[in-house]
Amino acid sequence: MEIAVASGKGGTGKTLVATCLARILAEYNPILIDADVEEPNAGLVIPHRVIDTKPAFRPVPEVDMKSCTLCGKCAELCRFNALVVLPSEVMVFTELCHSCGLCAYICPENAINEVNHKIGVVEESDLLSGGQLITGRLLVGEVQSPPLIKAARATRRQDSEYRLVDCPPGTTCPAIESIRDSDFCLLVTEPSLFGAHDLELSIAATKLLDIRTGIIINRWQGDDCDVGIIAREQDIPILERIPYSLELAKSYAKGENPLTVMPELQVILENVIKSVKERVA
Amino acid sequence: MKNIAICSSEDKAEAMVDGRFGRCSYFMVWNPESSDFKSLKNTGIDAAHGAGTGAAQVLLQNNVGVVLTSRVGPKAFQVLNSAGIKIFQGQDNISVQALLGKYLDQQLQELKQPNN
Amino acid sequence: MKELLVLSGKGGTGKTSLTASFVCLAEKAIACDYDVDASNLPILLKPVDSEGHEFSAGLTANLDKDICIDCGLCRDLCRFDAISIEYEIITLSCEGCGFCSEVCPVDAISMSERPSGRWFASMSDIDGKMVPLFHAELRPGEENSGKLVAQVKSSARQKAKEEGYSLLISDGSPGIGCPVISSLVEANLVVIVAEPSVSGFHDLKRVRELLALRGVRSTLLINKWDLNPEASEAMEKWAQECDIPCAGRLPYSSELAAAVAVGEVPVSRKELHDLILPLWENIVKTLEKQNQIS
Repeated sequence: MEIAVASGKGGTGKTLVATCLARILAEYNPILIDADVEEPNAGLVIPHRVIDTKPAFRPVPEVDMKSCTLCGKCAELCRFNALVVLPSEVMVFTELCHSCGLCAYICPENAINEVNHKIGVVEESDLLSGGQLITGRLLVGEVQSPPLIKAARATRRQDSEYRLVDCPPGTTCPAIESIRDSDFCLLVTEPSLFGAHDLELSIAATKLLDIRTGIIINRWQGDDCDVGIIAREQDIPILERIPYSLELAKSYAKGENPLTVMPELQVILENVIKSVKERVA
Repeated sequence: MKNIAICSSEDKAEAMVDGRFGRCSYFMVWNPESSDFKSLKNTGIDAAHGAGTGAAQVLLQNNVGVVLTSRVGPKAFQVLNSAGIKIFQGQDNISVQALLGKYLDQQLQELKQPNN
Repeated sequence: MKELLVLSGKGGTGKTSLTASFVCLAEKAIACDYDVDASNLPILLKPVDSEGHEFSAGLTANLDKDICIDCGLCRDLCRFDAISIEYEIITLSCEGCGFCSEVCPVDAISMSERPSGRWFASMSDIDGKMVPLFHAELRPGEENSGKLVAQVKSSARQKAKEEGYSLLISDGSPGIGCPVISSLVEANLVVIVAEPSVSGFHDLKRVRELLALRGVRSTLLINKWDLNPEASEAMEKWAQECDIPCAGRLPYSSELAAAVAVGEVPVSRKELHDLILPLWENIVKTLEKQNQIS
């Protein structure tokens, strides 16, 4: 079973939930995938040992100027303006390229080859609590994160009954890429106007993907605020509420195990796993 | 003689300049031999990415040797520079015609690096 | 015209609450929200008079099944798995590259503009002071190319130019990708809002790396510093070494959380006003100093 842990906005406690679930599921040797490749933080709050780091690539065009006749067809057809044909050369802007392969396919002289361009790394680690951590890390300045997310999601040392995906925030391509093939999506939100607004957007995205969804309210202080209204309107269950705790915030900031600091969190998240299982079954 | 392109907000020489190279609406291209303007629609403007390189490609196909613009990004600069097209720092809030006049009077500075 | 951009590597650091506060404290400014993925500034600044505009970015494929001869070429060549077995275009997956449309032997596929979202020009009534606000909403599942950010920015700057505003205060988008890079264009100073945690420090360094790459100056503001005093100190020391001035620290405040939970701008409460004002004054000083240098 694959559970995506996502949120409309950042800082709602997505990584807290994902890493605690990994700790709770330790006996099943879960695979925790940090798909928030722009800001991969899971590894910072859960002890692990890095086993291997592999570069991740995507294909980009390389023009063989010996065969190129400067006909301009590649530049004309590239929808991303990644190729420019000059009077005596063809310039390739890899950061604009979406790796669609059209230019190489249509070049009348077969002068375009696709070569690997490094976009980041996929780190494979063993979790000290049990299981694996797969972290995608995007190179600073690189703009195409979905291929790296795909690579991170495809990496595993061995299969497990449970896969947990710590997703990037928001509802754009990277979030969609992280959530799309999961069996269930946990949306972590906070009981505020911001939380409710962003939750509504996230629900729209999971409905678009047709993925079963449940809500966890984090930093709960006795009131669901507008989150409750959105959940009712959209007919999405609120699975659990994690109470607000300053102590938890403080210890989490130092990288301590939240389950030790707040023992009831264990029970709350065990309940979450139970309800997710029931809903997926 | 090569043509001179000016980033413009509309397709006429009396129009105000557009400060952005990649995302300007039109290029007004002045032919120094005939002293005529012709307008080129900047097809790069709608691109999600790569407006600058797309715009530069348009100019390359229209025998342009000089561009007058307020702001040009690093990728477009690289293309223009490699193609031997000179870029002169334009001004804001001025008409296309007036900016061309300033260039012809040698009042504009050549841009030696991208500024956007 | 100067632009002050508020950024943080990760979300949830209090970036939006602070941006809204700065907008209220500034004498005369235009507010912008570049977080087109989850626009929250309007929740605090409450636009009263909004003018919406459609926005499209890139293209999407359309397949005419009446013409299609079921050859499968498009499906084989599409790298984004955007064409289903039944020849439906999966818009969510389509990158708009046009490969399918180019190779289709019977021209059954055309490309059309892709509606991606809306942007808004509004006015906010902040205790009687009318402040222009620019923000946008991306449709779920659409690519945040940075183009919508650029649209919001250029509309705001246009307004500033026309009506003589000399300051833009912008709420940046989270992360370090395309939208953030678009937010940075023409920004004069970045306020990095960071939380003193292991991950906060990590994110701060990545943002700083990006700013260095783009040559943009910054100032550091630590929010909820008392959650981890040692980390706060380490961050400030690091900032000093990187020649980043510190705008100051804010303690953890349940008052701030309470204000934001009900959609109030923090500085509308006296206690928070007094906490945030000195930080704002430091930021203004840094911005002015910058003017003298540039």
